[in-house]
Amino acid sequence: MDEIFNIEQVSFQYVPGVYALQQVSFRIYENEILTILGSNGSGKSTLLQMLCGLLFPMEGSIYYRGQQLTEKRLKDRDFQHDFRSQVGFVFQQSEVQLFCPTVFDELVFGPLQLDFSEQEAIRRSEEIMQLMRIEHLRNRPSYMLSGGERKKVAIAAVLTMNPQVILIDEPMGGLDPKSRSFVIDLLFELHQAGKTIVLATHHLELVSSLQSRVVLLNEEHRLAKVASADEIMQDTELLVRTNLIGEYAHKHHDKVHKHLWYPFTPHPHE
Amino acid sequence: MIPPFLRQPNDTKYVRRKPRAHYITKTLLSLVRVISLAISRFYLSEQKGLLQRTPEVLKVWMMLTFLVVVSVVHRVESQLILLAVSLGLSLLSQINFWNIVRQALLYVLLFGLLITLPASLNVFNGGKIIFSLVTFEHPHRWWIYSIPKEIGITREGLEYIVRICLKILNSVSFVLLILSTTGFENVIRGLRSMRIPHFFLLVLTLAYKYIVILSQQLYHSFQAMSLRGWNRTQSDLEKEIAAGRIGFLFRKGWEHYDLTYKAMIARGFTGEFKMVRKNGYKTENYLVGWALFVMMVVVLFFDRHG
Repeated sequence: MDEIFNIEQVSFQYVPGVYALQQVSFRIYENEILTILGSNGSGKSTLLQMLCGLLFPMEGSIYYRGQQLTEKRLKDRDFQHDFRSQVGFVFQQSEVQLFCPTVFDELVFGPLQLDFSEQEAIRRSEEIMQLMRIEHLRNRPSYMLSGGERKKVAIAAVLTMNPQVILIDEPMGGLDPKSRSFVIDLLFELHQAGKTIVLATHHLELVSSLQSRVVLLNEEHRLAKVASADEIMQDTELLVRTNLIGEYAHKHHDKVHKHLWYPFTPHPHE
Repeated sequence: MIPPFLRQPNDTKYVRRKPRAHYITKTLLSLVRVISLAISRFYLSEQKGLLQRTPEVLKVWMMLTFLVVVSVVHRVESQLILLAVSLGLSLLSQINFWNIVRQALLYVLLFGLLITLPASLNVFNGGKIIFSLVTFEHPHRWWIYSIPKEIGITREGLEYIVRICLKILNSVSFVLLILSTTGFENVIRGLRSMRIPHFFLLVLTLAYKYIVILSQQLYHSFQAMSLRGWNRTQSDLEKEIAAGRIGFLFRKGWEHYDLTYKAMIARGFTGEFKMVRKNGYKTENYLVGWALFVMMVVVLFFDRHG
């Protein structure tokens, strides 16, 4: 598989002395699903923003298809146009991503900025609205949408740009079970359509469902492990150390008991 | 380990206090109410009535024409015809005209009735008294003023007040009708078609959007405070709380703007805001525009020669 991103010893600080990421290195390959897994505040969103060229490493480098991703490089109009049309980003907070007057305007925004014709932008938007089942929201402004609808529109707004790499920050955030299964189905479909999907989450059930390669970040904002989903899910000690599982209390008949396991998967009882 | 107090029911007694909100709190909550009204206007503008289907630019011209005619016609009957025109348009647009009139009546009271009320008396305007208020033994003269023997409300004075009030009622209700049938998004489109710079419109859209989001957050903050028993606190503390909420909103707003700008860049934004052009005028729009124009000409003719 061809390499798309090469992340080399990347560090970042929002506040001097406080690391959001420390010396993280891994690679992302064409047409794979990669999950960046970590507890809250481990640096997942920062990493995704760096992959999208919105933040830049303070130490280390990120290479996109062999070219170093720097602020200066992204000022080059040709490279910028190519990069923005190839790499799409769905933010964790959908409301920040929705800034146009209506849902329809939101969907045509990306293609129009990338200089597609109006006709093409409208055609894409109609098709994506059908795919995401949001045709009825067409003329709604974003503040009149529910959390789940916002998420769907945010994903749809990126899909109309037809990027080859889709970065999604917390795809399950604020979604009900039905919408979650819709998003998982969609991710599989997109993967089958040849897209590279990089998502950041702390939901182990998503890792289990997608069976992707996993980049695990620890609470020190460092890389803990890069491995397959199975390998990560079976390493209980590592999951405890990275604060992804803990002691969960649950009830069997009248008895409340707790033990160390992820509660939504089958687990042994003494 | 659960602390012991959580195992016991609360035994405090309710102390009756007079609810009183600080002016900053009142202002913030009023702001939230105004914004909620703006949101409800969007719902109205989403209905498929006549004015909702009319292009924004045409609506602006219709409004300007209507306001000019309202200001130049003098007869009460002409003003009543114009009120009927507004009523007709609101019926065709599925808007409750009484709600609009109710909002306009406040302006009529403030800027019409209260200011012009003295004009109904024969002290200021001559005319035939139809309702006597005071009768003196003889007329009085003081400096440049003369007070007649009988003070009362005149027919001419009443007609003047009715005319002014109707003018205000007509103007305000028509403007409210147009606003009720035009969503903010369409106002932006209208401004765009008038060649207003894209970046200005973008800033306007973002500002409007975040006012809504932030006002919702503010409202939820106050709801959370009232759920925790807040109805009256020491004035200084309340000022601090309100100031803290304002500071929180500024910070939240700044974070939102920063992320939104990043989201725009991620979707290829380079400084020029490109939007889809809206479809042109339909036959119905021309008919509505011309119908209103002809009606205004008829009202003007009736007012002068009828």
